[in-house]
Amino acid sequence: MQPGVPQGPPPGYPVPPPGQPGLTHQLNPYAQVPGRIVVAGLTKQFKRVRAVDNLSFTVEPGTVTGFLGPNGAGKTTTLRMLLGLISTTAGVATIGGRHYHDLGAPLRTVGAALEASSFHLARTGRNHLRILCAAAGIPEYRVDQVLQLVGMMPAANRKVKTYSMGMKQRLGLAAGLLGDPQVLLLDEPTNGLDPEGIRWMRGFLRGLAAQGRTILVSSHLLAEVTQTVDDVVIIAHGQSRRQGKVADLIAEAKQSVRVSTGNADALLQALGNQAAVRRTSATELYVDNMNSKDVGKVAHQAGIELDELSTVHADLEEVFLQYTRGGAGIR
Amino acid sequence: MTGLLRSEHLKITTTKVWWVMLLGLLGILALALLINGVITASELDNDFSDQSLNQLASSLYTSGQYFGVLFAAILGTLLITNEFRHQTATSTFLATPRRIDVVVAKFVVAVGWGVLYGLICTVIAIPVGAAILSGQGEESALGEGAVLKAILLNLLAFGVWAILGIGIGTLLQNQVGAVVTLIVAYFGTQVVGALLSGLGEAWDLSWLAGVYYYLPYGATQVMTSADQIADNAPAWWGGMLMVLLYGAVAAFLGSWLTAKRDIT
Repeated sequence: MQPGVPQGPPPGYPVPPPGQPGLTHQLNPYAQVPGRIVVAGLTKQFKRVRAVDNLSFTVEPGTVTGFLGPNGAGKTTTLRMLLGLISTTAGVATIGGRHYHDLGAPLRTVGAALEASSFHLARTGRNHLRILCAAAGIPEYRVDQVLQLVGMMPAANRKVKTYSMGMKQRLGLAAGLLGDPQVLLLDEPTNGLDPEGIRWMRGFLRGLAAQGRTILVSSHLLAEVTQTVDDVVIIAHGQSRRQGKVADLIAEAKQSVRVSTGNADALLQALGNQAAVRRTSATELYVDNMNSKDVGKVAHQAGIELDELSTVHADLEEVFLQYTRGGAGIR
Repeated sequence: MTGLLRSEHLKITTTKVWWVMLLGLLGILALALLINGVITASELDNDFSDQSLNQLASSLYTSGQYFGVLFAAILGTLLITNEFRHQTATSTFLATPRRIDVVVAKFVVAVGWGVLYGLICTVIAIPVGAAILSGQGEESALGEGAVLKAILLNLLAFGVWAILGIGIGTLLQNQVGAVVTLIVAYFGTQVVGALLSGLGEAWDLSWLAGVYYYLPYGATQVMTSADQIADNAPAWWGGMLMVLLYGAVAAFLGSWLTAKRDIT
């Protein structure tokens, strides 16, 4: 288990558990900070599976947070508890210091796009939104506004069963935006999209973030969200594995120096015992604990001619896997 | 609450189920009027008829009820099971986190639609029935209290059966399962009731023979008859109480289950 994961159950509902690393104060989940999401000691025990296990994190107003984990890690369950759709076994989840149930006009505070399949197939996209407007007391002119926003106007009067996956994702997003909410919760919004759809969704989310909205976006791919998010919360097995700035995570991605030379044996000798070297072929070496400048210097002093000298970043997904290893999928 | 009612009403009007069922109901109504017309004519020709004119008239004016209440129940079932089948329960309960409000709105809207179905049947059945009676040289009997009572309680029956439909829908959630259960239970309880009647008569047990009139459809018949339907049946208000009791149990179960369930 990674350091910084809150240990032990909360002292008792609804007292918040200890804060996260780097936060000296304890966050009170009931502090009424508009747009802040607080998850404190959240736990969900389904019959035989502990889907979410004492999970704590905070999303500050105006930030975009990636909520990451392999399939089955408990992301959707967490979001559904935050939205009051499923009951909590223990712990607290609040938005702006309130439980979802207690938000006066929930759709005007929080927008959610959970699954791209939650539509009546025989109903048109526009009618789906009209029904939500009526229930939430939102004026109906918002329907056309959000349809325009997500580019669904041309298909608004077609039945959902004629929609592609990407169109359903857009309709879900439109539903989330009906109340022009400060907070958005998006569950795998790029799932099932083609590359063009993914690019559109990324741009759209960046636009929403630029308007100062608080966004919590879940994904099972780290690389998917690194361009969009400020912070990440990585979970596996329903437990927090890592939380922090995405920049720190990228910096953590291991660097190594790839050297290509006809005289690999000589270089190996010149680098000496201190260097952590992996030889991948007769002419190629990887140096894990030196930068390229130092490697170049050693080669120069030893008079070894180099064909290639370059810095290689470990794959971001590799970092992600380090944190989630063993936490994947089927439980 | 008006917004919620509008929302639930839109859920019915934005798909085609309501008018497909209405068309079916109108077809059945035509058939029922034909059959009831034939029965009326033969009963009136028969000097030894045990049915009063009031009874014959109320049967005519409540034509379509037999399948009509079933259709009202199915409409109610669909209103709730659609939410689970198409997973729209998620967006519904996001817009209205107080689930009890959603369930109450569904009950109100389903009752409204059930009564509307009943009203459409009645509006057609009254002039046609009156014409059939006048063709036999009889009065319409529309001024009779017992006949008017039967007509009004017939509308109530449509409404209560819509509630029964929602109750079974919340209980089972699975759409096909709920509709099939509804249909099987509807006819099944009648078959069971008829068997019990037969046994009751064979063994000379009047109470056993009367069980039928306390089952949902039997009680509905008791409630919507102009005359006392049988010696071992409760009075019309007894039937009405039974029907309302079934509706209340369904409403309570539906509300309670919906409020505590996880929406995944």
